Amino acid sequence: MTALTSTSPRTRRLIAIGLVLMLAIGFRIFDVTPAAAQSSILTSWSSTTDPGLDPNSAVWADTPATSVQLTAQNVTPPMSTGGIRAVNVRSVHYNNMLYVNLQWADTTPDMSTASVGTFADAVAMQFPSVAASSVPAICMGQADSAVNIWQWRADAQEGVSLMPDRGYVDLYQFTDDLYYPARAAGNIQSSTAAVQNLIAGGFGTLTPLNEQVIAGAGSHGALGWSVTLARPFTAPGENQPAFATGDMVDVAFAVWDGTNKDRNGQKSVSAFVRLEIAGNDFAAPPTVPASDAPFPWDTLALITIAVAVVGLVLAVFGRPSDWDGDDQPDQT
Amino acid sequence: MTATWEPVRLLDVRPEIDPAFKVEKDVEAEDPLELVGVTYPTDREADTIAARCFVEEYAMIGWRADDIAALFTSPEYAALYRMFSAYGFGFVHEAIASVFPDQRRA
Amino acid sequence: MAQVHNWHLGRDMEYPYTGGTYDRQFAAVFNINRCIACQTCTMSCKSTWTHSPGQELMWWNNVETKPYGGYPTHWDSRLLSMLETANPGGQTWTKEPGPTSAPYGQFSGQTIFEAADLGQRVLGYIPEENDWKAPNRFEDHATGAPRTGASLPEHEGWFFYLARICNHCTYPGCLAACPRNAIYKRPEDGIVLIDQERCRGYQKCVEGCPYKKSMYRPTTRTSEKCIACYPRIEGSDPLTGGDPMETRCMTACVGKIRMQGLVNVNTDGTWMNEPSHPLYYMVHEEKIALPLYPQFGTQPNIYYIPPRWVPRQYLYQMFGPGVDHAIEAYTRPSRRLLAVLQLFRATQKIIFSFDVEEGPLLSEIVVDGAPMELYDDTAVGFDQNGNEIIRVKVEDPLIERPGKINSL
Repeated sequence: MTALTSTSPRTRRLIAIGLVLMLAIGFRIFDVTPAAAQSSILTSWSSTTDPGLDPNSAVWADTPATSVQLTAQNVTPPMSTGGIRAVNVRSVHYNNMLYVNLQWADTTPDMSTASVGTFADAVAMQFPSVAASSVPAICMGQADSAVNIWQWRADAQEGVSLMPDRGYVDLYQFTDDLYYPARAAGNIQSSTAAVQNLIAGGFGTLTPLNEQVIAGAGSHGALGWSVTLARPFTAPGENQPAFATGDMVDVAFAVWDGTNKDRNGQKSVSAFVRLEIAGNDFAAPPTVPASDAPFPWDTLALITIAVAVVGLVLAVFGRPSDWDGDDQPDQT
Repeated sequence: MTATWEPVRLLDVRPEIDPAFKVEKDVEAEDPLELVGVTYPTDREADTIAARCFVEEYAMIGWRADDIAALFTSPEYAALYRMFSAYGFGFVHEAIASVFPDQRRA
Repeated sequence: MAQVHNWHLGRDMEYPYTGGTYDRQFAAVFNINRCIACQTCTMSCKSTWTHSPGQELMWWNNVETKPYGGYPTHWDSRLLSMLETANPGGQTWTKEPGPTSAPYGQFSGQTIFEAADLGQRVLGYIPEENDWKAPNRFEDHATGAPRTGASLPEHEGWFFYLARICNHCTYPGCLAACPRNAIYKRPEDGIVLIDQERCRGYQKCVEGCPYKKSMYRPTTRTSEKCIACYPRIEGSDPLTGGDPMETRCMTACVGKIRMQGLVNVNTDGTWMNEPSHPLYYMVHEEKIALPLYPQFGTQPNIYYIPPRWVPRQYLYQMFGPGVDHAIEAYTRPSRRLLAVLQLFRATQKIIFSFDVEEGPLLSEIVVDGAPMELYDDTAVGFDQNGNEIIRVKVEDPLIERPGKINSL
């Protein structure tokens, strides 16, 4: 151990290795770069053209999609029997407005709940309500970690014309809001709002927010739905997430298939994934390897630690100079 | 609550001017639009039981024997009147007497 | 899941919530022997509450002809067969009828809560729109036409009218099924209501109610149900001067088959011992009124005096094991019961207690082959403060009109 107490070249090596070791540990602990801790699988690219709310906008055709896997909700009753397997997510932001386009396969559009016992196709996105809080462990949030939900329903914009299509009506005596109690009570379900802005803090607590600031529209094609949801980067109140270029946002998805009598907990859901709000657009040269993987700070940190540890061991105990094991320094 | 969404009428109802309310379906020629009665066969034995039950029920809500008998001869009480028409006064007297024994005639 | 006591079943059972404590329970007795299916009850409810767009298919009160009819179509056969599939051969009543806490013995089968599918809270199905479109289907349709026609004690060919409203169950299926607690039961009168602000139209209540009295309204995208005319129960109709009043369907009954009231309940859901309460007297003392399909497990609060002429097997399935005693006690009513039966539809106000003042012998009649004495007793009904609100004699008053009143 005399090597440790002198200021020999060996000591200087030790100090250098110790510094490298501290640096490596620092990489791991302090999350030095935005892409250090987890890899994002969704990216919201900066767009030079306004995508608008049209789900068939040309902007989406040029934007790459990420497929997010969905599974049947089976945490709490009523549970789903499954159905929609994945949703393709594309996102851009333009003029400080976040646009997300969701597409999924559903050949049977369910756009009307005018018949008793029918249910509409729908899709929703869910964000933790306060950006810096922990991500809730399960969907629909928890009491101390609420989620903000944007839900688009296919039947919301339906202008319903009921009995005249299916029967004959002599007269409706009273038709003002008093005779639609849900409307008179201000229930958002009775409105034609295309997208509802909601908050939840656990199963069964879903509540509309006072700030209905989400815009959206849906369009059904031959194979399925395309829905665009949009919201300005900043939103009033504290129950919604704030977005900014460079942010990493947690988001989860849910899809309902009306044909399968999906509604409420009977839905297909994804786990929380991360959405990066990138500063560049998709067409610009990437500053990260083309494989879209982030710079492997993790791997670099581990390699640095390994080198440092090996170096430390060698420095302390010295290189073995007795390879042949005869207790005599080897002859070179 | 300070909701900011606008409830919109899903159905604009003005039956006197809304053309959607006009009758679009023509009358079907083969639809008779008449009441169709389902006949149920009975015989005197069944009618005797039915009449007795009827008298019992009315007796237990406080009707007197002669008031109940008057129902049989009233055309407005279709089933009872049919029994009276088919079987006559004797039938009616038997029905009453089966519930009001002191009304039995010699 | 909690354990609650269901006195219809004579045992504890599973339910998603613990029983709430509440003061009184909305309840009623319907005498099926008197129903003529005039549908006045149906129309009185319709013209009061369900006459607006989106409510065209809603009949919070309906009268269906059994055995083939039903609104929605075949609602009871479908649920009974679902329960039989879930528990084949096991939906039986065991044990002898017992005390007030188990007057029908014990049901050893599975309730809709106990037989629920994995991933659901309540066993049920959601009817299609066509099922709601024909409330009068099979009206007046008898079960065949044998050559001999009617017979006693059971008719060979038979039908009867079953008038139904929401039963405002003690353990409602709709309330259990709602995933967001948008349905609640009022503590002051046990009336079950859907919160129109909270409902999001999931229709789990439509699926979960075994009696299918929760109905979806497309124009508001929420569900609605019978509200037991709660403003009348609260006494807000000026006609009664603040006294609680029976609902529209009850007071409109032409055949006078209905009596509705508010019974006092214990914390476990059993009725408080009150022999002077007309409903308690009929259900627990005379035992002539029985719950509808008690085996579903919701503890419904509308009780039926079963029809005398219908084959007993059918009635056992519909009303439970108490049928034989109920029909016997109704066919040859006791003196006191005969007086209570006169109170049906004597007043619009809710009767909270009754008394019978004895009167002279009217006549000795023969009922069902055995003698019976008819007394002209007076039944007196009182409000919740003990004030007399009505008195009715057994003997129908005879009023003689002068021969000519007017030119007609």
